[in-house]
Amino acid sequence: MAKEIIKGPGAAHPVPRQQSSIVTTQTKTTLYPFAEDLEAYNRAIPNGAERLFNNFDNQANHRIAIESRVVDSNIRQAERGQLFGFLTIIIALLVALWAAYIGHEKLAIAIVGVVLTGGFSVFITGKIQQREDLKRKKEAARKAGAE
Amino acid sequence: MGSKIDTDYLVASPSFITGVGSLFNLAGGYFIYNQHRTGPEADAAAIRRDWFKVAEDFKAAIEKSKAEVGSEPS
Repeated sequence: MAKEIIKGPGAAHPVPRQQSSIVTTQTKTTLYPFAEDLEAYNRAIPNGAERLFNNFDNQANHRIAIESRVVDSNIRQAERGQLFGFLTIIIALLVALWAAYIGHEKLAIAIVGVVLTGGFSVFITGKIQQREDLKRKKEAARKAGAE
Repeated sequence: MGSKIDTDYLVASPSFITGVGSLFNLAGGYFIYNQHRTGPEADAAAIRRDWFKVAEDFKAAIEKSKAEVGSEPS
């Protein structure tokens, strides 16, 4: 809204007149280059847009390959953890049984106690670790503006 | 890698510790997730992060292209 003062021969006194106008602005926010940007790349360097997309393809493929390896490695680690944990428990229980069999009941109870305490400690640690990992991922996304 | 956003946002990364801990998952519910009210909401959140990741790739590609152009003899 703009206020204009009209002055002229017919105006004895300056007459304020209301003048309104609507200005429409369009703002686009994007994380990706616009088509105009790509045309500008082509003008600036030969095959600029194509080179940019080649670089993008390479970068995306590289990232996906690394992520696949990280995910596979994490899954293998978890599988190893299950196997080692299972073997440890079985061996400990066999030793406890053997100890009980030869008359060392207290030792057997102690072994079972240690296995159970250790196992549940790892269980809780794993749960905390998962919770912290999820929290970190959420926080990272929030900081990057993806939340 | 310098990446900020994780594409496996909905699930916690497995580890040796979580593997051992899962042996005691007798009652279930050991594995936890970044939960949403509905399935489509969870999908939308994950897809949104994926696209941000793609944008990061674009950013890196633009930087690389700029560096390539800068190093070319004029």
